[in-house]
Amino acid sequence: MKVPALSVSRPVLLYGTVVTVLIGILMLLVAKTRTVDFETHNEIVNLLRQLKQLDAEWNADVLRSKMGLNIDYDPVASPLPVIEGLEVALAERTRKLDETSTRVRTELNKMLDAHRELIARKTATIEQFKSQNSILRNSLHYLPVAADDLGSGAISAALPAAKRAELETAASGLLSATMTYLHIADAARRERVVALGRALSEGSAQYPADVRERINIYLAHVSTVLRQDDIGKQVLAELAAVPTANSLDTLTDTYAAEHEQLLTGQQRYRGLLIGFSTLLLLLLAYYGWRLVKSYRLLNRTNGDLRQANRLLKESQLQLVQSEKMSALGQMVAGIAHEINTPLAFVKGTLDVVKENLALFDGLAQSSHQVALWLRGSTSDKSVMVRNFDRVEKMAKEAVEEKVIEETTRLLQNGTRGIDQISEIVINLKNFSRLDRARSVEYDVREGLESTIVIAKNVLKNKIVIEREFDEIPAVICAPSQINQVFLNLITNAAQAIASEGRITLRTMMYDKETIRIEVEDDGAGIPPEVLPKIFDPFFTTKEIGKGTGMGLSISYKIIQEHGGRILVDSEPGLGTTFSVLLPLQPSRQPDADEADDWLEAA
Amino acid sequence: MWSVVRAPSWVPRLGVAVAWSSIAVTTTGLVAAQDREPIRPIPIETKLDSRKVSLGEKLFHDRRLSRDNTIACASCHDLTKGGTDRLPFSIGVGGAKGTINAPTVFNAAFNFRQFWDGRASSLEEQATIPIHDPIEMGSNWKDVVSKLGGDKVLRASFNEIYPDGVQPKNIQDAIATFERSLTTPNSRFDRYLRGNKSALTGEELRGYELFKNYGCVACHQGVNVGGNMFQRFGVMDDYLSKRGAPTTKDLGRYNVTKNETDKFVFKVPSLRNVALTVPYFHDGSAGTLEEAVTVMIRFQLGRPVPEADKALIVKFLHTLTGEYKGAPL
Repeated sequence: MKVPALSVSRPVLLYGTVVTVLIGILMLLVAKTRTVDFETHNEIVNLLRQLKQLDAEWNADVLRSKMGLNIDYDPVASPLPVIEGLEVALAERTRKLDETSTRVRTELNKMLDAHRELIARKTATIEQFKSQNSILRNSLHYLPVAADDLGSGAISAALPAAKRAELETAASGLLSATMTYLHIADAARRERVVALGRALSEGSAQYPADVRERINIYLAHVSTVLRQDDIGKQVLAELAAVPTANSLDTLTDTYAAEHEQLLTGQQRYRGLLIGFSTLLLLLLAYYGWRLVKSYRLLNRTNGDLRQANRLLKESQLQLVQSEKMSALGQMVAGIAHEINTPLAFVKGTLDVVKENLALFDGLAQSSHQVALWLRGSTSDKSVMVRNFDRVEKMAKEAVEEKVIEETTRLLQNGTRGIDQISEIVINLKNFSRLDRARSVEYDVREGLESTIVIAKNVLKNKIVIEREFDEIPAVICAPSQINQVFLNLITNAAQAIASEGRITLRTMMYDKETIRIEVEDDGAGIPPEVLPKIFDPFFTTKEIGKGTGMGLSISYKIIQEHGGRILVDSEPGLGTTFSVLLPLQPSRQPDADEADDWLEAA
Repeated sequence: MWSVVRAPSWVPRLGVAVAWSSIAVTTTGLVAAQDREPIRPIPIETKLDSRKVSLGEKLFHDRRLSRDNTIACASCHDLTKGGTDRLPFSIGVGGAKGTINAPTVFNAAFNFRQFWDGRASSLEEQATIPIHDPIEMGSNWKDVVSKLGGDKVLRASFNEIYPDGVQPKNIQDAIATFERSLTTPNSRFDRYLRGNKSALTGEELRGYELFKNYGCVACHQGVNVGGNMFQRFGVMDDYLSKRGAPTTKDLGRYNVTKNETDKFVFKVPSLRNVALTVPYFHDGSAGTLEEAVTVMIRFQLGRPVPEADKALIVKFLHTLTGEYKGAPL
């Protein structure tokens, strides 16, 4: 059981696997084609552009603050939260990209981290810038005021004019040197500032305390300017050195390259998808073509088969017809013989009756002459005596020989012979049931009796028919067909019996809805090797020309049509029993066409 | 000689500008810069989700944010006291004394960073820190969420606004949103900036001019009159050594960055409503506005300022007091 089951499922399994693999490849290709997230990429490009712009604006704002164009630090402070927000958004988008490429994750995240570090550095530097710039601007703002105060202000008013002029020169000289240094920052000018400052500081001892304090404040602011200028340069150099723009460019390039690669990949997969789809379509077309072809072949084969079937049916009908003719021929021969015997007997009887009638003719003649004489119509006494003797003699013969009785008996015998012929004819009529009724109530036992009569020729006198009939109800069937089956079975049984023998016919109930008819003979039996073939069409054990081999085959078919079965049980040397199981009601309506064909043939 | 000195202040800086040659300096830009004021008025209106503001206000006053249910945000940031507690150092859970002066919560939204050392870059980030500070509220998110989540009414308010209900990030969001509503527009000075020239008296206006001329405005500028940069405390002189008893808090931004240059560097505080937020500085060492101005002039500007000018500056500072919910603070 297992092996055929496997062999059945193997192609199915194979087809299933192939189809699954093909669909899998298709889905993979479709998925691969969709992997490029344009939306996210656009967002990233947008974010990077914004970041770059902000970065540039930030730089510009720092410079504006440096140059005093920005008079508050809000513009320098405000980009930071925006930049932070954009960086968070960028990291989020990059995480979204991660799902499609692990290579991007490591590389871009590293770059993003680096960029964040740069921004932190830049932020710290800008904070430094703001602090130093405020101080520098304040001191720068104050320097001219302080110099002015020292030179011409109220502080130095009490000093002698010479001292005052000296102080003014020193203060403005330092101011000038400082401004020049700030303008052209070289070592020589710085040294000059330092030298002038030192000179002013050293010379301050000669001035009163309040003037000295102002000189110190002035000098403190000059040194603050120098210090903050140094810090400022350093900070701005640092700011310029923080490669945020480069980093953003690299990020942009990397994203673009990654996107390009993804696009290339997608392009490749799209190409593959198109190729694969084409392949699938071709495959589909091929199978479609194959299907159409097979369908055509099937159609043609179907037509051929139908044709063959029709021819076969025709030849089968012819065969059935010839079988019928053959059976009919046999039957006619038998029946002719059957009828011939009583016919000859009736003829003989009539011949005797005819002979007997001559006596009565003579008697009637002589009696007539005697009667004429007695009436006196004739006087010839001698004629009367002769006639009287003859009457006496013939009457005596008729009485003594019981001619009337004999004749009557003969006539009765003749009638019986005719009755016999009548019976045969009636049975013949019964048997053939030319009414062709298909579904009528039918007494099986009556049918068997008729069949026995019809088969008398085959049975001859050597075979004894025994009847063991149980009470069975009438069945609904086509009687002429069932009779044909019985005739066939009885004929076969008779033919199985070589010399003398016995055929036992039985009827019984098989179950509630089925009757069983048995035809048992004590003939030769059927060899086991032949047994399976006996219902095959054209199988015959008889000499060529004697049987068509269709008898049992047709019987089988007829019973099958009635929803019944024929069973055979044979013991070589002991005899054979054929059993017909027949339902009281045909379980299925025989197929109209076919049944008609069979009926016609039968 | 003097012509160089009197030249516009941008002239000496052109040398530096060479490095930034890509930036074009235009005359119109300069004129515009000279016309503008370094301080800008606070926007009159804020556009915020009123539900979040209302929820944040409740949370701001909710003492369950602290370990022992005694301290709310409002305990140290009293909205009736200019958004501060007017103490040098605030009192936290269990009577613990703080180590740094509580800055006002008003206009904190305009600060570029939060805390004196700028360690929080957003109000959301700020909100979580006092809750966890052992001296301030001494609690944690788990306890806070469980306590607040147990309040049916509050939970309903959360669920109405936030799909995920009572969550740390939602508490932060609500509080921060409320704090963004704590702006004080329409001060007399802002009205002056908006064109109402009679909003200030002559003395106050003179005080503003001095505020600019002496250089206070170098750090206290922008919409918040400060709050947008860091500055070293003690530019022209060493403040802390003169004050004495230094603490780690005195290290300021250094505590965050560990950069040597960030020692004693603090966020420049906003001067908005400064008249209401006594005492002053991170150490609460200045008990009056005059005192604070004096310290600033001495250590940050390092130049002589006559007492009369100082008084005028203080007068100007009083014009920075704004309105909250339409009423003067």
